[in-house]
Amino acid sequence: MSGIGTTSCGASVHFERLDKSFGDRHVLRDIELQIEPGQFVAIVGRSGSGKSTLLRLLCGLEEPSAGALRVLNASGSDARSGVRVVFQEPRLLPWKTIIDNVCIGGKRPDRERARRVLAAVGLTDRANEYPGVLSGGQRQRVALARALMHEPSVMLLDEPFGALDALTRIEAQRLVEQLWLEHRFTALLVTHDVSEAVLLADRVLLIDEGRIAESFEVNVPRAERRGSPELAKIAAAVLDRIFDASSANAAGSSTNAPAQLSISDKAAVAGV
Amino acid sequence: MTTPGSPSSRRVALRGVLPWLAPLGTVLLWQLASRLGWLPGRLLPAPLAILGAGIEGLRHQHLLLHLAVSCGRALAGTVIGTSIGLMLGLLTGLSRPMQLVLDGPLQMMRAVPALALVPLVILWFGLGETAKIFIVVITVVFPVYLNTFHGVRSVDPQLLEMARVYDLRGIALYRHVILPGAMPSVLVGLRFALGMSWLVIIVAETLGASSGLGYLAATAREFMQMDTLVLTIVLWALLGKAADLLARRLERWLLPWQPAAQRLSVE
Repeated sequence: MSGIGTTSCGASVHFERLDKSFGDRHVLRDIELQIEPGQFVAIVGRSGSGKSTLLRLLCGLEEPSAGALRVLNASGSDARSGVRVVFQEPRLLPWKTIIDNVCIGGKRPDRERARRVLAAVGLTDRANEYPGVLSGGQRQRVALARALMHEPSVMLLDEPFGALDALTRIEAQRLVEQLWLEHRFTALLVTHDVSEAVLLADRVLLIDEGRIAESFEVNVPRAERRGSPELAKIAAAVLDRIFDASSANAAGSSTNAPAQLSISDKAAVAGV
Repeated sequence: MTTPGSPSSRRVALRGVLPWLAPLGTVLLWQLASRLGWLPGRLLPAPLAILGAGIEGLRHQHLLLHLAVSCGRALAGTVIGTSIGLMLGLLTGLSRPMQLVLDGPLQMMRAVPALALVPLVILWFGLGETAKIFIVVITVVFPVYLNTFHGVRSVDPQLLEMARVYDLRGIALYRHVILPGAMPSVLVGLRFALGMSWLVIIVAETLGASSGLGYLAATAREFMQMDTLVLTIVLWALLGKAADLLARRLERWLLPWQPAAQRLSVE
C-alpha cells in the first residue's frame, strides 16, 4: 500500500450515563457505551432515533445535558482533539484547491503528507484542482483524506456514503475499510443501511428512541464478508430487532397488516 | 478540434459578432439619417461629427486629461468607499452587538441619495478634489456594506460547523472560511458601486468643477457645442463598459474557483 507513514493508534470511547435533550425533547437517554481502541462500530436506527446526535456529541458540536463522555488514548489521557469527522456532505471549501482543503486545520500544513494522504484515496493527480470539478464520490474521498491528515484517533462517519450512487458507494466502503485496516483508528459509522453496517463493522449498535436497544457482534472474517450468508443472517436479525422495537412502541397494534409491511420494508432496507 | 467553416467554429465566430451588431447598426443608421437630413445637426450631430470633435478634443482641449481626472476621482472614491464598506460589513456581519449599534443608522443614511448631499459637501469642502471624492465614497460605501454584511451572514453553516470540528478559530476562520465565503457577494456590491461611482462623479463635476468629463459636458452645454456634448455622453457609455470589464477581471482574479456558469457576468 501507499503508506501514509503513521503509527496512529485508536482511542477508546466512553459514554457514561449520558443524556442529551433539546429543550424538553429527549434525544438520547442514559447512554452507557464503551468502545475499544481500534474497533469499528456501526450505529443503526431509524431516522430521528438520535444516532447522529451521538456523533455530534463526540466531535464537540453538542454538549451532553447530563452524564460524561470521554475519549482516551492508550495512556489514559484525553484524546478528543484527535476526533475527526466525515459528514454526509463532503463540506469542502469551494475556494481552496483539493490539497489546501486536505491541509485545513493544521498548524503548519505538511504538504508532503497531504500528498501521501491524497495518494491513499487515489486523487494525487487532482491535488491542484478545485472541488467544483470533482464528482460526488471524489469529493467524499477528499473529505476522507482531510480527516486522515492529522492522524485521527477516532474517525466519525456520519452516513458518508448516503449521497453516492451504488457503484461509487461500494468503492467508498472498500476504501474506508482499507484505510481503517491500515491505520487502526477507532471508527464510528452512523448509517441507516443495515447491510452496510454489518459489512464494515465489528459491532453494530441499534439505537431506538434515544437508547441503545441492542448490540450485535459481527464475527464473520472480513475477507469473506461480501455475499456471505452468515452476514445476511446478522443483517436480518438487526432488521428484525429494528421492526420489533418500532412495533413494540406502537402501542396495541397486533394486526397482520403491519407485519406484512415490515417484511417488504426489510427486504428493501437490507438490499438482499 | 474545429476546422474553419465547421458548424461549431461558425457558432463561435457568430458569438463574437453578435454583441456588436446592435451598436454598430445604430451608428450606421444614425449616420445615414444625419446624412439624409432627417436628423438636424442642431439637435443631434452625426457620428462622424462626434468623432471629429473627439479628435479635435484630443488635439487641443486636453480631452485625455479630463478623462484621466474623472477616472482618478472615481477610482480613489471607490477604493476608499469599498474599504470602509467592507470593514463595516465585516463588523456588523460578525458581531451581533455591532450590528445592533451600527446597522440602524447605516440603513437610515443609505436612504439619503448621495447627490442630495452635493450642496452641503460643496459648502464643507469647496469645489476641490475632496468634495468630489467624498461624494463617490458616500455612494460606494452602502452597496459594499450591504453586500458584505449579507455575504458574511450567508456563509454556509455546514462549512462553519466543519471548521469548528477541524479547529479553525479566530483569524484563521476569517481568512479561510468567512472572507472567501462572503467574497462573491462583496463583488456584487463592488460591481454595483463601480457603476454608481461613475454616475455620481460626472454629476458632481457638472455641478461645479474646473476639470473632468462632467466639466467638459457643462462647458459644452454653455457654448452650445453639440458635438462635444454628445461626445462626453458616448465616452461615458464606453467608460461604463470599461468599469464593467474591470469588475469582471476582479471577479476572475478573486474567484478563480467559481465555475464560469456561476459567475454573474456573461462570458
